Amino acid sequence: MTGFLLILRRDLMIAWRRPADVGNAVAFFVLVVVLFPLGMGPDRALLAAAGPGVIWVAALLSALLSLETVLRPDYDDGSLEQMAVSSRPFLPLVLGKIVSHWVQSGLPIVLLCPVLAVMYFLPADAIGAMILSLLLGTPTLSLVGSIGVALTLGARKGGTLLAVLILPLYVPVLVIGTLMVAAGAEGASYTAHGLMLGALLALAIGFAPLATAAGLRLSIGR
Amino acid sequence: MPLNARIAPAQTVGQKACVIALSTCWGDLVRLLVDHVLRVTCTRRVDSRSVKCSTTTRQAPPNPITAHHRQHIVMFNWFHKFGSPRWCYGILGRLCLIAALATGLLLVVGVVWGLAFAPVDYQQGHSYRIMFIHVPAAFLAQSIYLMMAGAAAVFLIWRMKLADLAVQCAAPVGASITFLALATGALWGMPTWGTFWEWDARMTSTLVLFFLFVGMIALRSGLEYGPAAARACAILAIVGAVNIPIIKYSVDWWYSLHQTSSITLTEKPSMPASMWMPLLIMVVAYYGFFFTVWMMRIRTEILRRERRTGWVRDLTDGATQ
Amino acid sequence: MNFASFGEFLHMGGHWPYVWSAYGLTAIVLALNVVVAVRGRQQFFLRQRREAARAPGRGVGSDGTAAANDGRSAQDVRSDENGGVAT
Repeated sequence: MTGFLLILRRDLMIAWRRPADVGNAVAFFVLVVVLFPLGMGPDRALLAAAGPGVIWVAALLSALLSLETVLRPDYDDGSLEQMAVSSRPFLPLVLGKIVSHWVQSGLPIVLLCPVLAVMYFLPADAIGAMILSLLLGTPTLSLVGSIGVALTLGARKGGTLLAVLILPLYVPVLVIGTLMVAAGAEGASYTAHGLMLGALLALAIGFAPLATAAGLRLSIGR
Repeated sequence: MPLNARIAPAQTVGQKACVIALSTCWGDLVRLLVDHVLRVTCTRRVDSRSVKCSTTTRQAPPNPITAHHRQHIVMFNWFHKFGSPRWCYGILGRLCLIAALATGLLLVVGVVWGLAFAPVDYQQGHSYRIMFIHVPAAFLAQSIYLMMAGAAAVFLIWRMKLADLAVQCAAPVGASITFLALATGALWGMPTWGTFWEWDARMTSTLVLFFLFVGMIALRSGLEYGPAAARACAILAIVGAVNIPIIKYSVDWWYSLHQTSSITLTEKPSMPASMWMPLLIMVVAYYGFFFTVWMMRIRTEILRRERRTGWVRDLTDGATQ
Repeated sequence: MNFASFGEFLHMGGHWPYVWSAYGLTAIVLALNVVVAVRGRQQFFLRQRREAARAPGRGVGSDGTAAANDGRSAQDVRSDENGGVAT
């Protein structure tokens, strides 16, 4: 367990000392969300209808962009290899890196989404649903995305390759997350959606670190 | 149906899914399963060079083989023959020929029957004949991904080179078949429902499946050739296969809750025998086509990978003379 | 019979552009798959012949003994021929 906390503390300290990295991902998210009304026009009904989808897709894309910053620096300077061959079990370390990625990208998204939801004229119920859906969904995005990063660490042109690999796997989270916000906007109950997102998160926590660790060992061994 | 009534059954499903996901003993289950399978086929891991199961071995394997395990060895000998690329090349060549002949025959029969002799549909007229090439393609697309994932699992567990070849060669064929399913679906949609594209559950999940195939091809070409790339692609195939039912379920749900019109494009009316018989023939023909092309590509890839060995050089020398 | 004449068969009850373009596209894609598979095989033999012509002294004889500069020992080559579950 201490391995997990060690890595978490280390990564968060690094992020704290270089706030620009975190700031970039957050700024990207906000920019994308702001660009859509500029492209679609300020019509209230249109924005309210498109809001959940736009905010969710922006969250997806910013999670994707910031995923590389979690593992690539450690891979480049060899500390990932040290983590893999150390006597500590590798899985908690991997999980620590994934959680630190979520704290750097997913958590700011969750904290900022009420403000952006207001910009899209979403009703109050929808804002609550949006916060909960992003809270449950962004960790899944970090977990599943880390599999893709682990597999493509050694590849050339990793960025777009990562997107091509991971975005189809993000479809269920996107679909259920936006359905949840839409249900909230209508005033209906969104417990079912929350439970489904929770189930996806539990599955991801269970199996994604395994696949990530396997993929990392492959990339390191190359 | 009011929104709440549609959500209530989903709520119980959601609760059940949570319980199942949380009570799964995570990676330990997977590891236990893999260990058991490996124990049953244990001698293959002991000495990677010996395939023949002789009772007298020059090198004593580290693990004592009990009579029980010896029985398993004899049982699975045919499976481990697939570890030899040369043997595979030979057997696949013969199977390929049989499959090609069968496919050709079935395709001709199926197409002629479907185009000319199947009766006219009452509602859709003659445009429904596209069904005979759309439904088999959609069916096959999914099966290809599952077969690819199965081969990936075989590769990861038994380290069989043929399985990696199978994964590599299935992806492009799968992508083209999925594209065919999408295109014929669009062409079917126009005369029937007046629109080329409809975001219904089946077409949307086929679209996502297309991107899964594209991802497999992209990863294979993005990584340098080697055992690590093979294992990476195998992991991706398995991760994608696990996601397919999740994607299908969520897209189904998405479609049913966003649906504004009452027309469901995925309803299957009961078909008379004169319609589902040619359809069945076409489905089998498509499978035969996939196996033929798959085996042809695997054979070429075997040649490519083993090009420095003696039997391949003999083959090329023989081909030139 | 469903069609009174061949002309009617081609017309497909008015849906002829969709039906025939769908079937045509299918034929093209299936044929392309086969063509690519066959051409891959032909390209391999072409390339092997070119390499053999370029360096005739190099290479493995039919008994499996490899030249030292092949990068693979004779034992590896022979064991590949016997086959086995390799990593």
